[in-house]
Formats: sequence, structure tokens, C-alpha cells
Amino acid sequence: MKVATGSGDGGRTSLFSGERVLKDDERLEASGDVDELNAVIGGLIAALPPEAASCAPELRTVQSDLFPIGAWLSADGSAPSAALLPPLDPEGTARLERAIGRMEAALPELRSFLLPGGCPAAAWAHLARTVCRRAERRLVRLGRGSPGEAPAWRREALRYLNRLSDYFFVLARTLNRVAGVEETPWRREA
Amino acid sequence: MAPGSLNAPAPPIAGRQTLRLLARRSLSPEVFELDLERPPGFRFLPGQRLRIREGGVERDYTIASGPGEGVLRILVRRVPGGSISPFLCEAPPGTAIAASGPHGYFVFAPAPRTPVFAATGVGIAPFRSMAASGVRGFVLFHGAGRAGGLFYREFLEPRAARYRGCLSRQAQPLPAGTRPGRVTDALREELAEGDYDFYLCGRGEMIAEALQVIDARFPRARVFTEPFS
Ligand SMILES: Cc1cc2nc3c(=O)[nH]c(=O)nc-3n(C[C@H](O)[C@H](O)[C@H](O)COP(=O)(O)OP(=O)(O)OC[C@H]3O[C@@H](n4cnc5c(N)ncnc54)[C@H](O)[C@@H]3O)c2cc1C
Repeated sequence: MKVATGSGDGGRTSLFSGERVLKDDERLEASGDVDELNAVIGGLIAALPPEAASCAPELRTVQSDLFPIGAWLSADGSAPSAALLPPLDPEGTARLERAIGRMEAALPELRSFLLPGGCPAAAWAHLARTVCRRAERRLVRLGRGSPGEAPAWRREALRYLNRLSDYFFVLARTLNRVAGVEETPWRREA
Repeated sequence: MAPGSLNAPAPPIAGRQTLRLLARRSLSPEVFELDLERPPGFRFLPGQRLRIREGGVERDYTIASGPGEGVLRILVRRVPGGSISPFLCEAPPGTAIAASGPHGYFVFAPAPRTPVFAATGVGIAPFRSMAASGVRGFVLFHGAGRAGGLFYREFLEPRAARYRGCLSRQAQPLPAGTRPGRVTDALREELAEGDYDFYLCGRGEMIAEALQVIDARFPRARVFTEPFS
């Protein structure tokens, strides 16, 4: 598969549902956030220290989970092509919940806010968390524009993204612990 | 205009299958039509494709037959030196061909707007399938070098509201129903103002250029694309 060159030079692109939209369309913004999140996870995987290399397969699964969310974001439920998209599997969210539980059990209790950072991989995980929150906010805003009950894919995507940012927070703490880097608590008088 | 099959639930994405090559016909010196055995229960929507695997390489071929037909038909242009197309253009009938599918999202979306199909060469395949499933009233621009490259014209023309072959290398006088130049020239010059759904299939360069014409002339249109290259 080649990158289609030149087809979007006029500042427009096609949504999955066929509409030609300007590239700052809010649906594209949302799927762009999910794409950005995916790229940040790529950075996180590349930064994993050897002691945390076992996190890589789980993170790659998350990267794969994000593709259908991106596709749903640029689909319109009424297009026949949308019927061909795989439904979002609630098992993805359940898997994140189990991973959070597993990591949290090995972490000291949180007593204050933490400054985002630490070892490089933890810093990437915090960045992933914030991009994930942005994607989630954008998805909420999209939903506000369409009346009625949210479609199943959007409800599942919101659950997934909400859990995913929690996952990155706990993962950042875990990575610092594994790397032996101390967490820096926030103090009012820095 | 809306064929019932399109409202069916999403068909199962079948796993790998081995499809027997039943027959092959030459439509032009470099394009062949292949009939592949259709496994029982294999469902697809017009516009979807098969992914064929040979020697560890995979390539996509759009199904040209309709969902109601007994065989799976594909059109293959031989790319000299290619990994898969020469094999498909030469394999003897009876050969077992590894394939998966159906894949893809280039399916027909019934709408009150007029569908405009634009294809180059073997990119006509999905429109043959859509027409076979009952889609009517479309405008079709098919680009080819010469009239011999206007595959399925006899089938498509009676089902179209307007059929136009766009011939870039045909000597004058041109046959009826054709014009000189390319598909994109027809999009620029032959479509009145109006609401359209565009379906573009074939060479990537045609699609990129057609999108520029459509964005300039029909900014409210819906556009579905299936680049082969
Ligand atoms: C969604 C989709 C649907 C497709 N449907 C069809 C179809 O219905 N019928 C069909 O014939 N093909 C179709 N194709 C193209 C097909 O998948 C292969 O790319 C094509 O047959 C060439 O594969 P190959 O292995 O023979 O050549 P490759 O080994 O891929 O290529 C050999 C050489 O030829 C060049 N080349 C590749 N393709 C072309 C080309 N089209 N023209 C000139 N040079 C080329 C390559 O750059 C390379 O240098 C489709 C492609 C896509 C993405």
C-alpha cells in the first residue's frame, strides 16, 4: 500500500462516510488526536527500559485497539460501509482494567499529586495520558453535536479512552518504580 | 435503486480460503477475466475485494461479479514482472488460489443524489458488481486507451443513466458513446451543476486529479475512493 500523494493538497479530505470536509473538521480533529496518541505510544515503547520490555506487547495491543476507534470517528453510522466496521469490543476496556489492577497492587499508595515525569518511558506515558484525555474531550464534544442516545461505538470508545488514561498514569508510576526513579510530589511552594 | 442486499447485516469476514480457478478469458492483450469458485455461504457486498496470496505476497482484486452470481469473477491487468498478476494471468484452470475476504469498504451507499462512477481500466470491476446487484441510474465515466479497454460496456451501458467512454489514445473517428481525453476531463466538462455521490476507482493519479475537480466544482458532494495504485 502506498501513501496517496496529492489527494489532499486542496485542504480537504474524505470522511469514511464520503463527505468531503476541510481538514480542520472536528471529526478529523478527533481521529487526529487518536492518531497522535498512537504515535506517542510508539515513542513510549521505544523508550521502555530493558526491565520493562514486557510492557511492549500490551502497548502494541493498545495501538491496534486505537485503529478501529479512529475509523469509527470518521464514519457516519448511516453509511453502509459503517456496517462493515467491526464493533468495538468491550474486552479491550476490561483488559485495561485488569492491567490497572495488576500494576496498582504493586504500587505505594498515592498521597499527593505527582509532577509528570521521571524516567524517559514514564515521561512518555504521562504524555500519552494527556493526549488520551484530549482525544476523550474531543469525543465528548462530538457527541454534544448529535442529539439522541450515543451510538454503541461512541459509548464504548469513551469507556476505553477514559480507562486508557488511567492506565497510562499507573503505567508511568510503575515504570518509575521499575527504573528506580523516585516520584516527585507536587508542593505548593516549589 | 437501493438493492436489498445492501441493507443486510455486515457479512462475515471469511478467513483464508482456497478458491479453484474455473476459467479465464482474455478481454484485451493485458487484461484477463478470471472465474473463481465461490465457496458455499461466501457473502460480500458489491465493491469489496479478495486478497490473493501467492509465494508469500498478497494483492487485492475487486470482485466484478454480483452477489447473486454463482462464481467470483475478477479482472486482472498483467503487470510485467509483478509478483502476483502474471501468475493469475497464466495459471491453468483448476489451480488452487489462496484468498481471503471479503475486504474493503468501497460499497454503494443508496442516496437521493445521483451516483457518478468514474473508473480507469480494470477499476471498472466494482461498478460491474454494483450494477449486477441492481444499482441503476448512475452516470459512468470509464477511462481507457482505446475502445477495446471499455470492459463490460454492453452490460453497463443499458443500466446507466449516462455512459461515457473516455479514450485517451483512440484514433478518430471515435465510436458512439465515447469522447477523447480522460475521465477527469469528462468530470470537468460533462456534468451539470447538481448533487452527486462520486465513486472513484482505479489509478491513484486519476483519483487525486478527480478530487481536485470535485472539490472545485461540487464542494458538497460525497466522495468514495478506491485507488488500485
Ligand atoms: C484496493 C485495491 C483493489 C485492487 N483491485 C484490482 C483489480 O481488481 N484488478 C487488478 O488488476 N488490480 C487490482 N489492484 C492492484 C493489484 O492489487 C496489484 O497491485 C497489481 O496486480 C500488481 O501486483 P503484482 O504483484 O503483479 O505486481 P508488483 O510485484 O506489486 O509490482 C511489480 C512492479 O510493477 C509496478 N506496478 C505495480 N502495479 C502497477 C500498475 N498497476 N501499473 C504499472 N506498474 C505497476 C510496481 O511498482 C513494481 O515495480 C488493486 C489494488 C488495490 C489496492
